[in-house]
Amino acid sequence: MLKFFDKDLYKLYKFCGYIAAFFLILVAVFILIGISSRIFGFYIRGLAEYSGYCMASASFFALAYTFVEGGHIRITLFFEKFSGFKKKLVEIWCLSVASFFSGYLAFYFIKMLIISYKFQERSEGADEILIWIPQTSVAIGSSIFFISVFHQFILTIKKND
Amino acid sequence: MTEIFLTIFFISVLLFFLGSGIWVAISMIGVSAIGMMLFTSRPVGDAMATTIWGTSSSWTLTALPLFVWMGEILFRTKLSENLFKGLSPWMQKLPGGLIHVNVVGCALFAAISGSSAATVATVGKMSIPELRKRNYPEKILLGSLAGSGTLGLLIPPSIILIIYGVAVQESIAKLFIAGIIPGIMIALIFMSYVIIWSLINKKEMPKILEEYSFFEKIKRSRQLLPVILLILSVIGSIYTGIATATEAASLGVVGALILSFFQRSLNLDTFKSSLLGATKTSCMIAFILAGSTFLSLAMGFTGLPRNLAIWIQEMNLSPYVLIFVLMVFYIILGMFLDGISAVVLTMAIIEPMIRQAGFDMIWFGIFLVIVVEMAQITPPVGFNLFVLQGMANKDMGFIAKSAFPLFLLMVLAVILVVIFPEIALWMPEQMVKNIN
Repeated sequence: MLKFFDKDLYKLYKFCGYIAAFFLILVAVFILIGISSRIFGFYIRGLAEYSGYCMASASFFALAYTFVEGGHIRITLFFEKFSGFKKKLVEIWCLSVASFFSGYLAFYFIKMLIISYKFQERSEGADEILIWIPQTSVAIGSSIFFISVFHQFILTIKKND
Repeated sequence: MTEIFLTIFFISVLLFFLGSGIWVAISMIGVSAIGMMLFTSRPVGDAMATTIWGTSSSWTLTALPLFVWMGEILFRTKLSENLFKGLSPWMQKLPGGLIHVNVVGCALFAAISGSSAATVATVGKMSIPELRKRNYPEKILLGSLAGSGTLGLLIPPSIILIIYGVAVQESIAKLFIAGIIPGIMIALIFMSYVIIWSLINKKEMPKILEEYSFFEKIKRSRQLLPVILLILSVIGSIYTGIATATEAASLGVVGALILSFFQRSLNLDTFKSSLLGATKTSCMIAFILAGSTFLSLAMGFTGLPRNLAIWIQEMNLSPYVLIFVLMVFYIILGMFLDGISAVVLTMAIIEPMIRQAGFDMIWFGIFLVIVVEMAQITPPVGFNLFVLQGMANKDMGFIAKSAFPLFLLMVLAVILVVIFPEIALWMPEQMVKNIN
């Protein structure tokens, strides 16, 4: 039963990776539209801001995917000196700290989103968009990141050597 | 007194988090949260969310994923093959022969990619087996490759300069342009070293076997032409002010896609893997950058950067001494940290000090990148060494020893840039004249 759940979670992380990749393409598209607007002399408000939001969305949606793929940088110099049970203990320490602070991050991004939504805040840039819209992806991305870290934490504890 | 104690505690927790293997970005976020709780009564979590949201959605940062993507696309073309085929006929008559392919190949690829590990991997993929087949001595073969790979950080586009530019809020376009001459200078220093080394160790160097006519040489390097055109148009558009760094990056992505389409290496698979690779790399970097802005905020409350800046000013150090101390500091730091982490971790403390001491921030960026480059080839943590260890099946100690002379040459390069700041600043000054 739990095995299936595991697989679904990994699918979720990968899916988020694809969403992030899509936002990355959007970054390029918005900037290319910006260049052509200058050449052909038309004007679209807030293109720079839109590409910035896409950048943030890409970064945060990719967090979980990058994490399970081992893409985030850490210092493994001392870590690699350990083996067996000691290594497992150190890994549990790292993952529990990471779980706590990724949860902390997700909590406050959700809070930021709720506040922005409640007060219907608008961006201060040329786009004047309702700021909760782009903030949604950051809140979702960081929440799934927390899930992925906590997931690894559980897996490491359950693992028998 | 309690403030000093708290600051020491704060730094110790950071070092402990990093050393125990907690992911760099998480360590920075965690320590900053703890630090802010200690030093202020402000709502920590909300400040964190706003700060991180601010940097992560900033427009300047968008140059980062695009340049990473451009490099990832070209990495998957036949570039490493073309680099070797195209450069080798021109290099083999020089003393040192095909070893120069390593240096020039790295310098060229550095102008496409902003990462030194990718530069080593791309050039080494072809040059290690080909040079081994021709019996070049391992020492100079691997040493020159490890050293030249570091040019990926300095020659634009450079990921680390984007990070630096975002962190200290300086123009990325100017930083890129400032990196050109120092980059070429270091490549030339390396080539001179290869020439001198091969003249001294003449017996170990293999005889040249292949002969090419001028026409053949041109024919063999024809494949490199589109790449060189792409490099020139990306850097040229930044230099002339036609495009911002971000715009040049997006044009670079389009150019790279067209190029790989015509070389028949573009298909759904390579497109997907290049895009996902870029997504992962830029996510990793954006995350540590996010952590570092929060760290800057927390550091500000500790008063450490300000006090350090005042303290340094009161000591009345000569700028040369200060720069020397910083160089030693970053070399030591670079032994344990990768370049990007070293820069983002320290900028919060170093920036006020540098500004206080009156250094040009563009110049300091170039200085910093050269010093961080050296960190790529110093054990125990040197990314180029890791990459080469896997590719060449040699132990890290041997590669580090082979690369050590190049490390010393980079120290020489730093000294030159310190004594003659124009090496870094001349081009950006010309650029400003161009634009105005």
